Amino acid sequence: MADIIKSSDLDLNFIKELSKNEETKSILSCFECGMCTASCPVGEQFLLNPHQITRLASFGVSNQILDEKILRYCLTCRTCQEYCPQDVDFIEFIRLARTLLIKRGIKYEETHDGILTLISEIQANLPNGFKLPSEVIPEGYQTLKEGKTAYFLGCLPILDVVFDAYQVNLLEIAQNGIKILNKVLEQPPVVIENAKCCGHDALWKGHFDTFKKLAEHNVNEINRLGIETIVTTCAECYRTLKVDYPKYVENVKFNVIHLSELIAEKIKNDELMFSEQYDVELTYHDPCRLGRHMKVYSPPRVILNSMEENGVIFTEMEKTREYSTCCGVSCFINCNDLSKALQMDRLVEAKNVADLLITTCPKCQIHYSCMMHEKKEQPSDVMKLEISDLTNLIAKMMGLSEFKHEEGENKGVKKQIEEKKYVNLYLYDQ
Amino acid sequence: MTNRDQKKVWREKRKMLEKEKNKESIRVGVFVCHCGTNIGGVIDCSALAEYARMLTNVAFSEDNQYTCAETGLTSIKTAIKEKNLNRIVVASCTPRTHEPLFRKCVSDAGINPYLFNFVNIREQCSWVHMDYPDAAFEKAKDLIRMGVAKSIMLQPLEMIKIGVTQEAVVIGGGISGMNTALSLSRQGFKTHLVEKEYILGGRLNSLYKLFPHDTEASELIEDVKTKINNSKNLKVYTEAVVKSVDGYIGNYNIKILQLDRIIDLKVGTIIVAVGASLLIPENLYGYDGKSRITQHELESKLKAEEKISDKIVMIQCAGSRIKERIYCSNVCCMTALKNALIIKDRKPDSNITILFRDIYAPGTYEDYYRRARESGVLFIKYTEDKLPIVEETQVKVFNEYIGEKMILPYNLLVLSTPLIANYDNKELSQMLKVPLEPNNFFLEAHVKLRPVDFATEGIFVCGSAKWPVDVSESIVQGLAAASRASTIISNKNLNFSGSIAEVEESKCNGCGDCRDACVYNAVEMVETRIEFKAIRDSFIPSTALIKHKSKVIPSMCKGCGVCVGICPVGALSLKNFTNEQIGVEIESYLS
Amino acid sequence: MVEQIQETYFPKILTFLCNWCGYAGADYAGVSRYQYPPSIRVIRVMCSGRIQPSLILDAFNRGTDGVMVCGCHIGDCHYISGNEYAEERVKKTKKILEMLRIDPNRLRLEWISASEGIKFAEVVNDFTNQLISLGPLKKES
Repeated sequence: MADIIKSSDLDLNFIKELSKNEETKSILSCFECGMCTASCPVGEQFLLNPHQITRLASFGVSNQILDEKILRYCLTCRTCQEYCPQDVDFIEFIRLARTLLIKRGIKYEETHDGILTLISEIQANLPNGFKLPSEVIPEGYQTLKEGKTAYFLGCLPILDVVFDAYQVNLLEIAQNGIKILNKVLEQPPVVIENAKCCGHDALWKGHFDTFKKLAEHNVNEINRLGIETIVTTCAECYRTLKVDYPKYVENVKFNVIHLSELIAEKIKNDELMFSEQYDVELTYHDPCRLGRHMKVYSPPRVILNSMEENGVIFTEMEKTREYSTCCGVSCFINCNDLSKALQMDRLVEAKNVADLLITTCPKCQIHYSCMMHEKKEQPSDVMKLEISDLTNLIAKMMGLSEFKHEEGENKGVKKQIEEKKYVNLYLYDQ
Repeated sequence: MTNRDQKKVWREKRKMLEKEKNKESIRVGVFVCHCGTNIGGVIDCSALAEYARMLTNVAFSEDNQYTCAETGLTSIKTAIKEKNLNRIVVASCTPRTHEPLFRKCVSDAGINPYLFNFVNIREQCSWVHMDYPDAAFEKAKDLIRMGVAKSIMLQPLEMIKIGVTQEAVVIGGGISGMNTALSLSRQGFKTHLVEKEYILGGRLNSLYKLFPHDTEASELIEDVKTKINNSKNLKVYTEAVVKSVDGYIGNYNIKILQLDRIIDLKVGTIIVAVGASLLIPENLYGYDGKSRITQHELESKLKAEEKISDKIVMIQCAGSRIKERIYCSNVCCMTALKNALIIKDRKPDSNITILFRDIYAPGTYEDYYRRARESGVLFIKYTEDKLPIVEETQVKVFNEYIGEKMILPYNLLVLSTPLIANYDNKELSQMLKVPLEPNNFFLEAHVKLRPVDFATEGIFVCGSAKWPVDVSESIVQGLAAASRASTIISNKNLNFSGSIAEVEESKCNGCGDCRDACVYNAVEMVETRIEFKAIRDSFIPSTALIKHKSKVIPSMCKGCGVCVGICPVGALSLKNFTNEQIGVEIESYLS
Repeated sequence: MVEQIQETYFPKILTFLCNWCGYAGADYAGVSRYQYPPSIRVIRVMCSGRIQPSLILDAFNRGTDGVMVCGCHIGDCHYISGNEYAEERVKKTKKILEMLRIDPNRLRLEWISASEGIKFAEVVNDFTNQLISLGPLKKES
C-alpha cells in the first residue's frame, strides 16, 4: 500500500462501475468488521487483505487494486461471504476487477503456461465447438442428436488430455455420465456435438469477451436443438450455465440440474436402487462452485447415505458444507505454496476419516491428484487415499462400470493419523 | 469539456508520455549485411534497412557490404557511440558461426554482449529463395521485425565465472584407474587415487598371462606401480571407500573413509574407474569349485602351476547372454582361448573342448583363435534353446553343426562366467548423481559423441565400470578419461554462458518436476521456511511452513530449457529465451 | 509462380528450430543452396524440449497456418533427452488441436540432424504443399 493516497488516485468512474451491478454494489455496504480477512484461506498471501481491498474499492482507489499481483491471489471460493454479516459479494467484485484489468491490457501469468486460456480463446474464435473423441460414448450406449434432455460435458475431454500426467481419468466421468443417464432417463441423453467450453474460467479470469462468445455459441446451440433440461456432472459448468448464462446472455430458456440432484430426486422417489455391493469408507468434499456458490449440499449426501445398505460408510470431514476448504487453485491462475498446503491439509483431513474422497468437480480432482503425484516424502497414509468423482461412484453402484479404486491394505479399519506426528514433520522440523 | 473530463484527458496524456519515454530509452540499431552478392544479390538490403528504420524503437539502421569485416564492425561501434544505441540487431549470416564475433564487437563498444540479436537472412533466406526475390524480401522483413521485437525484450546477462580446484580424484585403483591417475599426475595435477582393496592393481592381481602376447600380468602391474610410487603428485589411499560427494564441476567435496578415519578431499573433477566384479556361478552347471570351476579359478591354478587334468570341457556364455543378463561380457572368449593355449603349451596331448555360442575375437585376436584351432582345441557350437547338460563325469551337448547329440567325458569343467557390475555401483551412482544402465554398469553421456563423459559435467568414467573390457581397452579408456579431465582442471576458472535457467522463488510450489527433468542435475530442491504474517490454527494449514523450492546451480546449467517447459506454474525461465521473448517473436510475426 | 500462389493462398508457417540440429540443418540447406518455399519463419531455441504447448497454441491463436518443430534425432539430442519431451508435448498438443477442430497435421514434428539440409528443404516443401491443400486456418471448420 502506498503511504499517501492522493486525491488524483481516486477514480470516481470506478465507483460508478461498481454501482452498476447489484452484487458489486454490495461492497459499499461493508462496515469494516474484518471477518472476510479472518476467514480467507489465503488472506495472508494477499498483498492487500480482503477488507483492505473492500475499503479501497469503496473509496474508489482503483489504481492500487487493479494490480495483477493483488487480484491473482483470490480463490473466489466465497468463504468470506459465508461469514460476512453484510453479505458483501467480494468475489463478484474480484471478478469485475479482473475484467477491468484485462480491459487495460494487463495479462496474468497463469499456471500451465496459460494453455487453458489459450484453448478457450482459440475455441471462442473458431466457428465450431469440441470434436469429441469417439471413446466418449461407451460401447452399447446411445446418445441422441436432438431431444429434451442433454448432457453437457464441458471441457472434460480437453482436461483429460492436458492433465494426463496426473492419471486423472476424466473421460471416464463423461462415459459414466452417459451410462447413468441412459439408465435413468426415459430416452438416451443428447450429447451436444458442437458445444464449446462453458466459459467458466474465462469469466472468472476476467476474459469477459471470450466468455461471452463461448456462452452465446452454447446458448444458440442448445436452443437450436430444442433442449429443455441440461444435466451436468461438473460443479463449474453447473454454476456457469445456471447463474451466469441467464445474467449475461439473452434467450436462455433451458433448465440446468446437476447429476447429483437428478439421482437424489430418483432415490427420494424410490425410483432408483443401487445394486452393487461395495465395502468402502468414504467422505465427500464440497467443491466451492456446487456448495457455497450454488448451495447444493444435500443431494450428494442423500446419494451417499442411500448407499449404506450396499456397504458404503459415509463420514463427514471436520470442515464440511459451507466451511469446507477450497482445493487451493481457482481457474488455473495461481498455484503456490499455500495452494499446496491447503491441498495437503484437506487430504490429511479426508484420510483421517476415510479411504476414498468423493468430489463433484473435476478441477478439485485434478488439483488433489497433482498433490498426490508430487514425488516428495509425504506421509504415506495420505498417499493411499483414493480420489474419485461422484459420477464414477454412482456408475459403479449401479453396476455400470468397473471402479478403479484399489482397496488399500487397511481396508475397513479406520486408521487415525496422529496429527501431532504429522505437524512435527512439517511444522517444527527445521 | 467539463473540468473532470479535462483532467481525465490530461491524465491519459501524461500516461502516454510516460510510456513513450520508457520506450524511448531502448534504442535499437539494425545493421543489414549485403555479404557481397550473397544477400545483396537477391534481397534489396538498403530497402531492408529503410524498412527497419520504421520499426518501433529502432534508432538507427544501415546496410553494409560486409558487416563482419573490419569496416562493418567499426561502423557498428561508431553507431553505438554516436547514436547512443543499446540494442544491436545484425541481419546477415548465421549465429552458429558469427555470433561470437558480433557479441565481442558490441561488448568492446561497451554494451552487454547479450543485448545483441542475430537475424539470419543468408542461410535461411537469400540462399534458399534465390528464384523468388520478392518473397525472400518479404521474409527478410518479417525476420527483421521479429528480431527487433525480441531485441527490445533482451536483458543484459553476465557470464558465470567459477574457480576450479586443480586436483582430481580417481575412484578405483585397477589398471584403468592407475593409468588415469598416472597420466594426470604426470601432467602436473595433484591426483588422489582411492582403492577399496589393500593393494593397487584390482582384477589384474589375480590374472596370469595377458592375451594376445602372453605377457605376465604381474610385470605390467609392477611397472605401473613403480611409476606411481615415483610420481610426486599422486597420493594413493588403499582400503578406502567414498562416503559422500557434493559440489559441482570444478568444486567437488569428497569424503572418503580409510579404515576408520574420514579424509576430506577437494577436487575439480572425478573419474570413476571402479571396474567390475566376478560372477560366482551358484547353481550353474553344477558349479562346485573343485572339478567344476570358473575360468578365473582355472587361471589361478595355472598361475600357481598346479597340475591340470587332461580332459577339459569349457562352457562359454555361462550366465551371460541370457534373459537375466543379456549382455556379452566381452573378455571371456579370449580368456578361454588363452587358457586353452597355455594348457596345450604345457601338455600338448591334453583334451580340450570349448562349447560356445559365438566366438568373439575381433581385430588381430582372430589370429589367436586360429592358433587355438590349429593347436587341436575342439570347438562345438550350442544354442540358447539347447543348453549343454552337465552330468557327474560327462557333458551332453547338441552339436549344432553336425546336428547330433554328443557326449563328452571330463575331469575338469570350466565355466566362462561374465563380469558383472559391482554391488555398490548403485550407491556410488546416487552419490555422484550419474545414471546406471539396466545391468547396473555406469552409463556414459553418449556412446559415440562423449564416450568417457557423464552427462553431469566434470565426472568421467573408464574401464570395466562402464562395460566389461580387456586390459588394453581399459588403459585406452583410462588415458582418454585423463585427457578429458585435464580439459577441466587445466583451467583456473571456468566461464559459463549467462543464458541459463532461473527460478522465481515466490512462484515455485515445490513440485520437483524440474529436478527430475534435468539430466545435468543442475536443479536442486532447497528447504525454505515460508513466513506468514500470522498463524491462525483454523485457516492457515500448518503444513506449509517448510517447503521445498527449486534452485538452479548456475555452473551446472547448460541452458537447454527443458525445465522451463515442464514447470507447471511458470516459475522457471530461461534467460535469453524467456516466454515473453519467444512470445513477442510470435506476436510480431503474426500481427 | 510465387505471385500466383500469393494471389490465391500462401501459408504462414512458424518454425521452432533447436540450435544444434534443426537450425544447423536449415543452415546446411542454405549452404547447399537447396531451394524451398519462402513460407517459414524461424524462431531459434536452444533445445526442442524448451517448446511448450502454449507457445504452439499461441501461434495458432494468432493465426498461423502451421507450426513446425525440428529437433535432433532421438538419441542424438545435444541435451541428452530434451527431444523426448518435445515429442511427448507435440503429441499432446496434436490431441488438443484435434479436439479444437484444427487439423493436427498443421503441427509437424521433424527430427533433422545438422547434415540433413536436403531433408529440411524437402520437409518444408512437403509441409507447405500440405498446408496449401488444407487451406487457410480460419476457414477450416
